[in-house]
Amino acid sequence: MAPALNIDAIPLDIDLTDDAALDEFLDFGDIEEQYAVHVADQFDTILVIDGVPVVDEGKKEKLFTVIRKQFGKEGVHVKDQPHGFMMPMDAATGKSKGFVFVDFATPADADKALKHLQYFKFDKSHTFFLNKFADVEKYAAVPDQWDEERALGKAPEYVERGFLRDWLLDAGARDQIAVFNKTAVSVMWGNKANGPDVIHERENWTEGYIAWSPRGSYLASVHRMGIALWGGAAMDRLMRFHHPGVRFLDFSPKESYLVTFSPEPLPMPTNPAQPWGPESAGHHVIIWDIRTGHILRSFALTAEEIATKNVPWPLFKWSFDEAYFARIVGNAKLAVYEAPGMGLLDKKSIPIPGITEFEWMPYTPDEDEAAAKDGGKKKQQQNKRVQAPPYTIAYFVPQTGPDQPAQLALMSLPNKQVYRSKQVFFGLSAKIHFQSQGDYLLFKVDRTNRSGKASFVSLEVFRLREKDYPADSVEVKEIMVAFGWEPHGNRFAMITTSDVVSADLDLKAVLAGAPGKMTTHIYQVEAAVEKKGASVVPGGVKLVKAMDRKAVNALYWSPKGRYIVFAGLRNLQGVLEFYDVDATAGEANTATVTTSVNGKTVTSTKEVDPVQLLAATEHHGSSDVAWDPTGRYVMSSVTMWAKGMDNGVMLFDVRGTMLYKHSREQLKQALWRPRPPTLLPKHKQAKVRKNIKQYARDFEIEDATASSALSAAELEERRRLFDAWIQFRSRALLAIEAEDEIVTVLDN
Amino acid sequence: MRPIVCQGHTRPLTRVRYNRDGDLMFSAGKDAKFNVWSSATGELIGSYDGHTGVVWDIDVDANTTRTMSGSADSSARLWDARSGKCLYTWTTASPVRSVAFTPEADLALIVTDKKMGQPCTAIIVEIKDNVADIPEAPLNIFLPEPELTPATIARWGPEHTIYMGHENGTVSCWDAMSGERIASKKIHSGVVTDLQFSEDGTYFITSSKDMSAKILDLKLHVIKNFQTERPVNSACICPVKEHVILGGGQDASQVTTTTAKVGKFESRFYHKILQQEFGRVRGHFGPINTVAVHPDGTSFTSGGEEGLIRLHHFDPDYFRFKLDPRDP
Repeated sequence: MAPALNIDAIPLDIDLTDDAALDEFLDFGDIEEQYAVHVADQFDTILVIDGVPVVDEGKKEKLFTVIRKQFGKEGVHVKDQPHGFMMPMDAATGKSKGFVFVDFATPADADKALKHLQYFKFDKSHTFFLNKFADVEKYAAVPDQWDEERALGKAPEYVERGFLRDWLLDAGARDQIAVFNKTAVSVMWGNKANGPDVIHERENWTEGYIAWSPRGSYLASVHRMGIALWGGAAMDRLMRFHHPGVRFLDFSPKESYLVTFSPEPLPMPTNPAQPWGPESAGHHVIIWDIRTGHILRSFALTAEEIATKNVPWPLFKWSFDEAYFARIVGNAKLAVYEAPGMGLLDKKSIPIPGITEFEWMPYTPDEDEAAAKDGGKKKQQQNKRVQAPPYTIAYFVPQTGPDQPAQLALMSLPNKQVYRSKQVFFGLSAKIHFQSQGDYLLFKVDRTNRSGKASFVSLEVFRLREKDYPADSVEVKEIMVAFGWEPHGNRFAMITTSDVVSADLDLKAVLAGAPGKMTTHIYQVEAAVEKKGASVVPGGVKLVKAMDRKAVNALYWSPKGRYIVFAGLRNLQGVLEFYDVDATAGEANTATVTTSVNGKTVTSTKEVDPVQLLAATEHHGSSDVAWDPTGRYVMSSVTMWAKGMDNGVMLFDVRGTMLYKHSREQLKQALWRPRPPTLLPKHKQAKVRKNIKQYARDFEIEDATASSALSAAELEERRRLFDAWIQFRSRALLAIEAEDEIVTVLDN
Repeated sequence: MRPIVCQGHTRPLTRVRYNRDGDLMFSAGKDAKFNVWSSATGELIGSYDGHTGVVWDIDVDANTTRTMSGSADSSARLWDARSGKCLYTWTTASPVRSVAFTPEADLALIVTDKKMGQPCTAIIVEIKDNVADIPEAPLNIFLPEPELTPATIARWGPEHTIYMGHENGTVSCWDAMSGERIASKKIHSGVVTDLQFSEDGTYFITSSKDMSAKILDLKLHVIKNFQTERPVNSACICPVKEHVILGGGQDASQVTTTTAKVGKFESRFYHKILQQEFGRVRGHFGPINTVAVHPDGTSFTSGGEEGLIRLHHFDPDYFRFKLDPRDP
């Protein structure tokens, strides 16, 4: 590297052949740095030990022998005399100064001593403090004055990140889809008709896969060296997170933190491009601050997780507002951390022996305050609903012995109080499902009977909006294939099968038996009703409808509730069944039917089935189904992981009408961009819903103009194609005629 | 459109063709058979027996007096169309891939495969009314240049030109008399599987394993592109309507693992000018290896890997159907 030469600083009259004069104006700092002798390399066997007894010359050798012996017991070897010890003596008193330089046999010995013999109790009144010789120099050289720029480098210039929610401003309120196929990633508008509009398309945008953040602000791309986040109107790169070999990523619910996992342990940092400190070496998980790109904390895996290579992901579960995050450690403890401090809550994990599952409650405060601010005081609910503590964790401990049944519990934080629990006999494992608003909680408990021979599932449903959080239990004798709460609703759906094989999604077994051996169920949770002056009508769980013999294995609720899609993915031929589970919404669920019997007109009332099939369609071989975040469209996709060909997506509306099919070779991912929760308070949303017809009219007009403009463009394109063809034909025919003429001339 | 299923081959079909009058339909298969059928009824009229290997290609002269076939038994044969008698046999050094008469049937083209250590060759032979007059020595032999071999399909163009499709997706044009290459161009990204001329010979359609078929003019400009999601094994141009028919499906090698639905063993109808697909004809349960359309456009025939020929007579609806008001 050439020395930096500041030409302007050289006086004009300088003699350029005079090296000494020139040297003054040349900065050799970088060269000196490059070839500097690193002291640490030379003295890495030497430690300075403080706290050594003060002795005189006579006892010096004896002291050395004792230290050597003591250290030897700890497995640390000091170099043989005369080099092993060097103790400076005070010339005035003839005594030592209380510290000694110790030269160890090998650098490894020195490291070992530093690790194990720090605060070594030499005797009752002497404790050793060990420091690397090189460190003493290093820390002595720290300037007394704090120079921020020198220490941290120049603060990077502020760069405008742009408006991260730009896509929400789309006039047509369209949603975006990110598609990853072959090597390219494209972000496009999910139009209603005529296929998607590509907004951004980049080759090699990601090396692994892509992911949206939970509120849609960022698109994450996974690379060998870490994660990159993209966003804003131009989809610029906003931040990079250097984590070698990163495999998984997880965002916190409000997009403040990013958790990354790499199967490679972090190496000892050797250059400033590696943003972690030496304390992170060997760790696998990093929590980042998304805004600054700084590491907040890194985590090691437990020995068991490393040994079994089985890391649950996401490793941490976040509370609704990202104030806490938690994980289970070794089926014995629940480690709850606080953000952004990243420390353990009360500095210790919560011991819950045997814990296997836990889940945070989604907390949604009632909007009374918001409504009150908007002058809607009158609307305040008269019978205010019960609200469970905001930081609630539901957890499950399986049966441990004959007299220790499985435990389902609700614990509030940060006071760690279990405020509701229930015991279930012979519960072996469980899955915990909260309804989206935290109104209901369901434990799906796998149980056996007393003899342990027959196994079944029990659904333990807690109503968290009622006094004392009443619980109900529903037994399911079949195998559960899929489950889901209706978002914002009080229903849940599930798919069960009596056939063990078809639970493994085996096509042959399903085809051999019947068109489908799956049963779909819709249940409804009803609240207890308190009638004035009368007894309380107890609430409970009620089966709304069960439908047999379906070839489906997955269910997808609309994010707004009410509509559900049952899908037969992968081997099940791609059946898609669209249901409205509340077809009688707002009306009495009986209808008057007038029939004519023997000439007489008979009027009877008939109960109308609230669960109505809207459409049964299929997307052959589809492997993924996803609702758009507004619940207007359903996208099904065939990815290359599931099927080698016919890769692409199909878009359906809520009624199951196919809007378009879009083919993409080697499709790997197709993801809707999530939306942040609406900022409109509930009563304003209700107002919009009330006047929906008025809004709809505007959109219908827009749609109509769009479609007529489109057909005009299409007609133009057709005209062009026909004209081009006619031209091509006439040229070809002219050529033939010309040739014929030549032939005629020649013949004559 | 109820198809007539013609059963006469025991192995995959390689080629189906109509004669110029359209009353007969000819078929060849991997079972070494070369059959002739009534195109109206699907009745098997007879066969041209003699080949001992896969019959890869066949042709009929304009007057339906003679037929010709090329086979993997390393021979091309000339037949009497009416009696089925073998009139003449050309023996080649490697399997014959393509055979074709000129419109006047005074010359024929025989293209051999690059196999058994032999190069791919194009052989131009003379045909005489009296078989005894056919000279033993061919009129011309040339090798399509090494980078263009092997040729998978070859057809006569106007003025003694030859158009060939190649394994690497190239389409080339040759002067039959001099053996000179007039033009060549990489058109497809996969094997060219078929090449069929329009009625007036001013343009042609190629099909390819790259899942597309393309219409090219005589100077090898791509005029139209028809994209599908399965390999296309054959394509033909309808003479009356502005349609093209594409036949194909998932590769034979994977067929045992797929159902007919997934394999998409369908004849697809595209609008020739708008390049839009407007219809499919299902029925085969193996990939379609070859399609041909009646010279009057009244029927089309497809031959499948499963050994069946399906002969479809169009309904009146088909002729009334217009995708665009400008359609004939």
